[in-house]
This record gives sequence, structure tokens and C-alpha cells, in this order.
Amino acid sequence: MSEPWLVVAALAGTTFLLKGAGALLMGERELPLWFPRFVSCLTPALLAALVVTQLVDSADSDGIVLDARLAGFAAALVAWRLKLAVPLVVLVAALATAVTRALW
Amino acid sequence: MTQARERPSGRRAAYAAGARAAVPFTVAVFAFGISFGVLAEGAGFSALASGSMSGVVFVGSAQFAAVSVLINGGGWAAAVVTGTLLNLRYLVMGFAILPALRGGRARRSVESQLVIEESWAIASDADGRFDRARLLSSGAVLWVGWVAGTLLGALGPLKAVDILTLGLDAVSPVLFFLLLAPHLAPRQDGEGAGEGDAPAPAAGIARRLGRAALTRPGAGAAAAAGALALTALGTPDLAIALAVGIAVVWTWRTAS
Repeated sequence: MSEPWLVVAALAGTTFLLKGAGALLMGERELPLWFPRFVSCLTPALLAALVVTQLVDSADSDGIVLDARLAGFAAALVAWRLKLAVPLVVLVAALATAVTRALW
Repeated sequence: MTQARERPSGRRAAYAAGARAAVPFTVAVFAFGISFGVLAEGAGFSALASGSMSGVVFVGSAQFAAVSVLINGGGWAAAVVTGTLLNLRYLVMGFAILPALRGGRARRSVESQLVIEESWAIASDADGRFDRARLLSSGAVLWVGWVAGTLLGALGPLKAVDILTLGLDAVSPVLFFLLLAPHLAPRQDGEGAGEGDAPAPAAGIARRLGRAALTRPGAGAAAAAGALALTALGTPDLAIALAVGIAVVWTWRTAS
């Protein structure tokens, strides 16, 4: 098997097990009572971490990278406060980012 | 589960809502799929190999990382280990989504494969529960976008650089923020309490959930600050692990 296919097969296997572990291990059993509480804390924590890393992380260099994404994010916040529809908020973000990057 | 969700019309509406919510994400995922296809082609992947990888693994970050390791001269085992470590968060997310899924072990483990950050967040309700219909429909729409983007990148003349020119790299932080916002707002009366259909044992859980809700913005703020610090230190991949740790601490704090 060639190297790319080895990676595809092995990563597919580990990903299936990780994503499916809950179902495979728990079966029909109920999760403990504290679990919904944990999830209700996990969701905002995970999403907040994703917002930050997607906003200031860069694959090309280590550390915080402040670039045109911030302008797009700020514009999107304004659009969101103005209660625009989600596709419009996204459009504003992409436009503001693209324009800022083009003018930089 | 509310009764509305169990009615066929309510289920249909939930499927439609999930698919609709996934569309803006899918535009971004499609574009990232193109750049993944281009990258994988450069690493010696055939379009069939990269397309299969996107179809079965279905996690952008892990796939990017694994292929990058190969490009940087690492072996296949190092690539798999890197991708797997990045996927560890799905262990937690898979457990979290479990109560919403149906059927036995096999079916639920297969349905779990549609979990990625976007579908998981779209399926999540402000009360910490998840909607199966929204998970499956948003996951399916995102899957199509990811696989189609990968194939287009692997077969077509497009280059990854288009994402930056079009400003699409700002789309995912904005979308994750829009998904985060409802989890930070103070809860309105009646919301999340099940609107009268909560079975008796759920009343205690609902009360405790209410208490947790007061502190959930705190968990988000702590995770955001931690993610910023870890990115500054050059280890942004640890931000997810830290967020899980913060959730554990917040759960324990609200228990007493």
C-alpha cells in the first residue's frame, strides 16, 4: 500500500473509533447525571476557544497573527448587533476582510 | 426531547433548520476543501485518495495536519499520530452527543461520524442538549461541501490562495461566534426548562442546568483567554484540551 493510502486508512480507523467511542462503550447505558451539566459548560468553552484560534492563529507562523481577519470580525460584530441575517453577517465579514487585505 | 421534535412535521422542520444553518459554514468548508485537495495533490495523493480521506475521516484540521507532516518529510505513522491527536476532542464531543442519537451501538457509532465542530454546534441547544435531526442534516450538507471541495482542489486548476483573496478565512471565526452567542445570553423564562414537557427526573437536572447557565459565559471567557495565551505560546492545538479542562472545572464548581 502506498504511503497516502496508509495514512487514509489508519487515520480513518482512529477517527471512527474516537468519534464512535461514546456509542461503542456506552451502548444502551445512561450517562451520569452530571454529564448534561458538563456539556452545557463544554459548548461555550469549546466554541470560544475555536473563535479565538480561528481568528488569531496562522498555519504559516507561530504565535498570534493579527491581520485582515480582525477587520472582518469587527465588521461582522456590527452586522450582528444590527440583527442582520446570518448569511449577510458572513458576507460582511468576508467582504471587509477581502477589502482590508486588498488595501493593506 | 420535546413533543414537537417527535412529531414528523417538527422533525422535518428540524432537518430543514439544520441544513439551512449549515449552508454558510459549507461555503467556507468547500473553500477549505479545495485548498486541502490542492495540498494533498502536492503530497502525492491521488484524487481518489484525498476524496476518500475527506469522505471517511471528515475532519479538516486532522487531514491538513496529517498531509502537512508527509509534506514536511514525516512518515505515515507520524502523520497518523498527529491527525489522531488533533481528533481527541471528538472523544468528548461524541460522548456529549450520545443521548440525542438513536438505535444500538453500531447505528449510533455511525451517526456519530457526522459530528464535526460545525454540525455539533448547530445541533446544540442552549440547555446543553442536542438535536439529532439538526446534527444529521447539517452534517450531511457539510460533508457534501467538504468532499466536493476536496475533489475540485485535487482535480481542478484552483489554488489555495483564493481563500485569502476572498476573505473566506474570516468566515469561520465569525460563524463560531454566531453559534457561541446564544450560549452566552442570559436565559429567558421558560427557555430550556422544557416548556412543561420535562419528565419528573429532569426537573432536578433542569434546576442544576439553570445554575450552570449563570456561569457558562465565565467558562467561555476563560477558554477564550486560555486560547489566546496558548496561541501566543505557539501551541494553539492545546486550546481545545484546555477548553475541555475548563468545562470540567466549571462542572465541578456548579455541583455544590
